[in-house]
Amino acid sequence: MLFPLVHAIQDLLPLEVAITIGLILFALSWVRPRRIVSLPQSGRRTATLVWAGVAGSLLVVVVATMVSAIAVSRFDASGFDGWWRRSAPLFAAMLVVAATTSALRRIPLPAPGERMIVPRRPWHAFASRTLLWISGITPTLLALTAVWQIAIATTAPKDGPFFGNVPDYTALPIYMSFNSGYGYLSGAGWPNHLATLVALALACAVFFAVLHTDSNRPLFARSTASSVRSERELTARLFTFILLGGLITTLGAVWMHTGSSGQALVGLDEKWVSGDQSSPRIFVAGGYDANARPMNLLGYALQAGGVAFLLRVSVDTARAALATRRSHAATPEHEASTVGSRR
Amino acid sequence: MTGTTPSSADEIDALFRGAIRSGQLGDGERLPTVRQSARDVGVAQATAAKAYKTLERDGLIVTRTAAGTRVAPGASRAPQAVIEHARALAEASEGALVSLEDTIAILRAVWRTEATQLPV
Repeated sequence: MLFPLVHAIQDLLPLEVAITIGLILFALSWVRPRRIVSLPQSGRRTATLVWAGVAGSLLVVVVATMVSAIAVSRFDASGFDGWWRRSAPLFAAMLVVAATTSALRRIPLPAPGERMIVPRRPWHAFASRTLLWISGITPTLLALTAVWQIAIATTAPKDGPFFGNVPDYTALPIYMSFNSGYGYLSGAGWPNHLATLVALALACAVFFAVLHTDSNRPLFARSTASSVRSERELTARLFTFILLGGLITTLGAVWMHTGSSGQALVGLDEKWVSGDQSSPRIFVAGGYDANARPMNLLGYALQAGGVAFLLRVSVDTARAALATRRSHAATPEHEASTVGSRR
Repeated sequence: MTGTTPSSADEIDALFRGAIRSGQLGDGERLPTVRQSARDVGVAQATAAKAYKTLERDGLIVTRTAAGTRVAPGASRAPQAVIEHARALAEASEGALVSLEDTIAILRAVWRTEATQLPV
């Protein structure tokens, strides 16, 4: 009775689909219930940030789930069908951040003459150093993986020996040499990984531009220093979280794919059938066979971790919005109007 | 930028001169771009550029191609690091609802304590 139920759940939510393990990790994350997202207590940007945090994060989760479900359900017929799917979560996260920044730019600026003289700030003025380090390591790993996979790729002759999941033949460099030219495995090359590099470059450009713009947004001459710092720090934190979630999910998908491609084995086995009778066994593995399995497993964990993190960002943004609303309800109106930032 | 809105290069010059002399901008701190300053004040870029040139001629700011326009060393009341710490103190005090008077009093007390400890 239990096994059919487990199988039914597995059919519905295969482990390769981002949300499956993501939901488990999300549930486990409540071991530490403290909110990771806070919102400015007042000001016009709070509502926009709530939308970005709740709906934007969920959108990235939905995209990650859909593309991973498509990857499970379809055979990679061309050998590079997944080129757009792996970078889709990062692309979605980038769009969410860009759209939120665009919405924030619509908030009216102080009139000329009512702006405070402040020094020109660097892009990272309001971002957390720790988060920036983590956000720096993740894209570095992603870029290194993509560049490595493009570098090891080669073209293959039409009648060459192909192993692993053999797609339709293409003259594009999607193959990696298997055991020093003994054969070819598909799944590498720029057709598979260029979109990831492009999405990564765009995401980095958007991240720098967004933080730089917000750091140097004109200030109202009478705004309080602490409220300005607080709202800009919280904005930078939320943007970093959303992009980091997309980055981790995409890194997971890329590692799942790369690990899966590298695991192909060609074997001639010596299998013992009785005490004195056996058949021969010779195994030939791919160029990075030793790393392929851990990479594949880490990919599962990272993809699910990214989704769990984004789910947590979404829920915690909603919790922060509720907490802000409650604190406003508890504060008398005349006090509320005098406390907090003006913009 | 409070009070009347500056509209001429001389008025913008006076505004930035005041900000540098008062310590609102510290030595070595980067000024907004000419375009940004023109937008902030609501004047033409040429007017803001003229004000920047006057400030540069008087040795209050220095312009380098890669580093942008910065407050010249010794032009402000204190170096960038001190002004940045002062800003951080102001932000922390405001956040903790400590008044300006109390913050200054604390700073004086801390300063005195540090000063008396130094010779020991």
